[in-house]
Amino acid sequence: MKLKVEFWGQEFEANMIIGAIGGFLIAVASSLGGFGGGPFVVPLMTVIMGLPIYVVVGSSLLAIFFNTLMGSLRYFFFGQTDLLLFIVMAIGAVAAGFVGPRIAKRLSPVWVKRVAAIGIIYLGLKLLNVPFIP
Amino acid sequence: MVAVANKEVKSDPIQLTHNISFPKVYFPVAGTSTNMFGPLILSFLICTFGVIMGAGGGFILNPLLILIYGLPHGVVAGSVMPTVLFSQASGIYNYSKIGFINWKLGIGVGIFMLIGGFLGPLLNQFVTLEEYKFIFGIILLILAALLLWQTTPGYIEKNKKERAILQEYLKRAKEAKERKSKIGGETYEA
Repeated sequence: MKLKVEFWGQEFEANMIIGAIGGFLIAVASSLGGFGGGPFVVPLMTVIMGLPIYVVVGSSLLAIFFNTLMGSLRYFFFGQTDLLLFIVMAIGAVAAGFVGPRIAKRLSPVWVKRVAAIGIIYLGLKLLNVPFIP
Repeated sequence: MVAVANKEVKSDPIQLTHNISFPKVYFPVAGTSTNMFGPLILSFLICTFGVIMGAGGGFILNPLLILIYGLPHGVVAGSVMPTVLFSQASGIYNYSKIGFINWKLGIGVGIFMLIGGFLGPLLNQFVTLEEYKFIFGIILLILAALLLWQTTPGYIEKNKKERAILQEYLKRAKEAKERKSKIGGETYEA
């Protein structure tokens, strides 16, 4: 099933079957883990659904919002939201939202991603209990 | 402090005394107490790093909260997830004002993400800490692969072109908005 996507007079075709399955799987994983799915949904829409990045920036955020809102409500009604922890985390996140973009301007995004990838691999291996990881 | 042991079976409230004083605080749902500045600084540092690399902080924050502070994984997921709601909402509002959201695409994929978001927290109830760590570990390795792939020359080349078009559209959207507000202002004065 192809969905015709219009963006500022340009028209694109998006494969909604892949979008639906991919979006569903990402949403299950991200709401299970408790994080936003941005870094997965953007590649899904650009690489797999074949849409250019400028069409995706806003719409991917809207798609993720559905997941975050539903996931947050579900956790809240399951009684798993610690309000104090939430407030502490939110203060840190909001402050980061002001500081982050200022630092980002001075750094090379490619190298930031490389460093981040190494850190994330380390953390991932540690979570997987791979032996010989300090 | 009042604690009820089981939700289903009614039990007598028990009285406990504790000697926890600020900055050490007790997280009522998580059921542990730590110095509150630890998680606060951790959240700030990780989220700053997240903003810089263009991905939220939850990926790194959640496993660290579990590994360092031993908070229960269900509570970590349930408390960290809502923190991004407001930044997402404001982002959507800003993008929609300049006509940068395709509602058909966003809602089309969003509906399936809504169903996923309904099931994920339910699954979380049945997942043990070890299983949670395993799933998260796999997700992190996939994310790392995605990030590394985004630093390959071919991807950077393609991304640069599309980013340039994006900037062009953003400029146009801004101009269109200014024109509109100007017209609005004039009619208001008239």
